[in-house]
Amino acid sequence: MLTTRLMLAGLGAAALTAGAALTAPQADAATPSATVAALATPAKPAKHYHFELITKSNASPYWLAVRDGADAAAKKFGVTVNFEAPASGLDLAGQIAMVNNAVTAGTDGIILAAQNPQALLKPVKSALAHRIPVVTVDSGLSPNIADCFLATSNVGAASALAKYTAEHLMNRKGQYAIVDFNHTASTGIARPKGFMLGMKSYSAIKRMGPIQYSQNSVSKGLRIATTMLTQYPHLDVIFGANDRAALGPAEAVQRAHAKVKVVGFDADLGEIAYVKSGIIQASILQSPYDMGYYAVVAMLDKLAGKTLPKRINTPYFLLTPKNLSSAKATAAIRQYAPNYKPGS
Amino acid sequence: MDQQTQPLIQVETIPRGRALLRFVRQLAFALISIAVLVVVFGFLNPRFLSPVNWFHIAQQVAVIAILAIAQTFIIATAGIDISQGSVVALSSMICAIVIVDTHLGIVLGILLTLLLGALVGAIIGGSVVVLGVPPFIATLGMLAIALGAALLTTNGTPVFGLPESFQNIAQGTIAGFPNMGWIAIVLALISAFVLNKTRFGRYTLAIGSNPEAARRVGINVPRHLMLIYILGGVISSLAGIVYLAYTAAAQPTSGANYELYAIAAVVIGGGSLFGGVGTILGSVLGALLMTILKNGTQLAGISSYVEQVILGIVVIGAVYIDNLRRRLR
Repeated sequence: MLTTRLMLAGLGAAALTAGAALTAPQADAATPSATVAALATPAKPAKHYHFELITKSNASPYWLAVRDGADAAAKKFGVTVNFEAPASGLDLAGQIAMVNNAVTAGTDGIILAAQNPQALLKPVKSALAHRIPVVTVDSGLSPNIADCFLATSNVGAASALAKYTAEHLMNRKGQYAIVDFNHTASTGIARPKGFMLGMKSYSAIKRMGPIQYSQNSVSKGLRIATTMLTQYPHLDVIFGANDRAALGPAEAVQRAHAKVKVVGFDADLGEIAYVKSGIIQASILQSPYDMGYYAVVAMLDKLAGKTLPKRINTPYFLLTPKNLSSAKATAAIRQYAPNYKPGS
Repeated sequence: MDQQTQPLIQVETIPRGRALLRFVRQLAFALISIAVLVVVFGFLNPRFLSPVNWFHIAQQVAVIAILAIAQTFIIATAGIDISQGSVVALSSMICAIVIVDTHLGIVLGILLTLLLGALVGAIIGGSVVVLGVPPFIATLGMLAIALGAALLTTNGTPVFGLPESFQNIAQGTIAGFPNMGWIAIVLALISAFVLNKTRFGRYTLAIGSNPEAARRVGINVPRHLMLIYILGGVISSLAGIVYLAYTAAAQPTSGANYELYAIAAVVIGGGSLFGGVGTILGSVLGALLMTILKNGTQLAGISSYVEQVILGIVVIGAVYIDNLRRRLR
């Protein structure tokens, strides 16, 4: 029960009555949105389709989970998904080239996590002009010209996390700081925004210093957080906006034996260990596996002539040390690590 | 020709036919590798050979090729520039800010950015020549300085809203060929002429082969090195401008690791990190080889992980075959 209540903090009464562990959050304001339930279960297509999955980088556990989901759907529906991504999440020209190449290759559909919401517009327009459907996952385009955008409601989830943090970890007063991973991606922009939005309703809570950027490097996040611990001796909470950005501060808190609590996004195995030890007190678990899986489903729907919702909110789960051993937490963690076993 | 006063020039006065043969041999590795890749990728996916794909390859190779040209001059003097990636970032930030935020216009934006490149080059050159810092360390420092400066310009936020006319610098076409490809080709032709046919070029290679000998025949080595690094900085910032026009977004983190691709391109093209050797055409072919590898593996549906392994093998193979060739001569 406690589990359910914790994770629903900030989600509203409607969701509360639903009581499901993986509840789709409310949409970002002004964007009409649907859940994955809006997608039909496609029949096995007559043709063997080839899709390209282009993520932001090719070695982060998060993107590999998206790939695993896409691969599972590919296997189930008899299609092929090629995984492509720049080695670094900062190689914008590389990603643009990959989308252009996918168009040239004559792929049947492109699944894209955009490194930058504006810079990818042109290549995506070119794909659409060639009648190649484009589904964006996790990080979309602005404006959203893709056929469908599957992602966590980042503002909603981050603001729910902020409310949980304020109520349960800060007793509605104190200081917090933010370590973001990237200032150019839509997710990197939305999460700090959502977190600050959630904190706004607590007048006794103060943000310390500007948002710091770890550029997706754990060691950089560690260095930034170590400095924060000295700089702000009364700091209560550090918010890390993704797995890499939460791991650095967690490491810093552990090394300094500080009382600061870390809250974050995602759950690679390193983060789960920190949740277990209580250094990370809350983390928003997204559904990368489902994003990959349902992106393929959406693509097949599109190719079968169905109209897709422009925006689909994928579910998230608020993981805490208290609910870590629950079955729902296990299911949520398996979105990141399909072989995860509780207690391992 | 008086051998007493100009012993270095003599190296270049071998018969024209042999010089050409030597030139072709030097490029053999890159040329043969490219030919093999084109055949293999063309077989795996015929669309690889389509004109639109070569249009994209021309776009994709341009920035690395431009950086490789700058790197060729520097490596020819036995130097190295590992700051190129963040100089690309800083240049694109400054160029975007000048154009978007200050409304000084595109031309002034480009000129100021090239000037910035010259300043960056002068700082590197000054550190090498005046302070005696090794080029690797001087540019390592610049790597951090330029990245930090790029982040400082806007406190980390990207800059958007570049006018279409600016984006055309990269994305537009002349005679059906992308402008950024033309920029790389024109720069390569000018640079090849400078490196091979002018005194400036011969001095560059002479300093790389033997700085002491170069000094003794009267070359002002410090001044020349200074000019080389300034030239390198200007060309790198040109790469930043082209990158900006191609991506239409200035990010303080763009261009990361590009210096490594540029160095690899020079090495694949027969350049030696010990200096004195290197051709512009070779470096451009090296950049082309890497771009074809990236493009072709994707079109053929080969994993991008495999592509990176192949790239590594190509770099090592290029140096090995180069050494072999030298020994056999």
